[in-house]
Amino acid sequence: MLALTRKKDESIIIGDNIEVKILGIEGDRVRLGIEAPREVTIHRQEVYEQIQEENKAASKSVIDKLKSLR
Amino acid sequence: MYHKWYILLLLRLDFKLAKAIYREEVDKMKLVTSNFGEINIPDDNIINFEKGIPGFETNTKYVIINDEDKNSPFCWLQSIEDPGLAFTLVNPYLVHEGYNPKFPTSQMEKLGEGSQEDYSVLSIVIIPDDIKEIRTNLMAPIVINLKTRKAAQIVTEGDNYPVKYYIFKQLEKNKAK
Repeated sequence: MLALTRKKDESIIIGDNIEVKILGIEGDRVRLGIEAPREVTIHRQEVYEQIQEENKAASKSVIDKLKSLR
Repeated sequence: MYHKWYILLLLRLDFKLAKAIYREEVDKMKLVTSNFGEINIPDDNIINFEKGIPGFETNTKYVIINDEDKNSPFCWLQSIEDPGLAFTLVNPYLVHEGYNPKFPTSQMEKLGEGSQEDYSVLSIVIIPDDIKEIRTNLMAPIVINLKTRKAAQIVTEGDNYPVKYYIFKQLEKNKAK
């Protein structure tokens, strides 16, 4: 992982067309602004991970169990 | 197409060869699945997930299998690349009254052109050992453009819906109706 230190209003450019800017810092919270092409999805890491985990759990679900609903 | 061959070859009394060709063509359209046995896959029934879904990026082709029970809120997303992989889906509108997800335009555009009635929204179901804990992902449902046959798992805008939404009670209620 690349570690950089930025101050408020400073930016990072990723690749050709993704910019991450520090919009503000309040206590332990950092407000980020992200400029990226529309087709690039941006998610909070924990959200993406949660979805991935749920999908994996879903793939392991035993479909026969649904019969106990009937 | 292969029907013609079959008949032509039969006429030539080349019965064995005709059967072999016919079976080969028909076999291409069949899938032997772990959960549903052998199923037929008509070409126009395949659903394409360009980037798969999170955790399953290499599975891009699926077919929907409906429940024999027509009153069931469930159907299944059967992977074509992996016959052992199938996701249970539920109609989210039947388990969450007033479900009204908003999808980012940029994500919807990837599914091609369509008007509202061309889209089907279904959410993935997780069935734990204790059936009472059955839940579905309302935050990121599967959106299918029925016209273009393109689909994706799209994260809804806003923080309105949970990734884990428990549906046992509502399913029991629906059954009682």
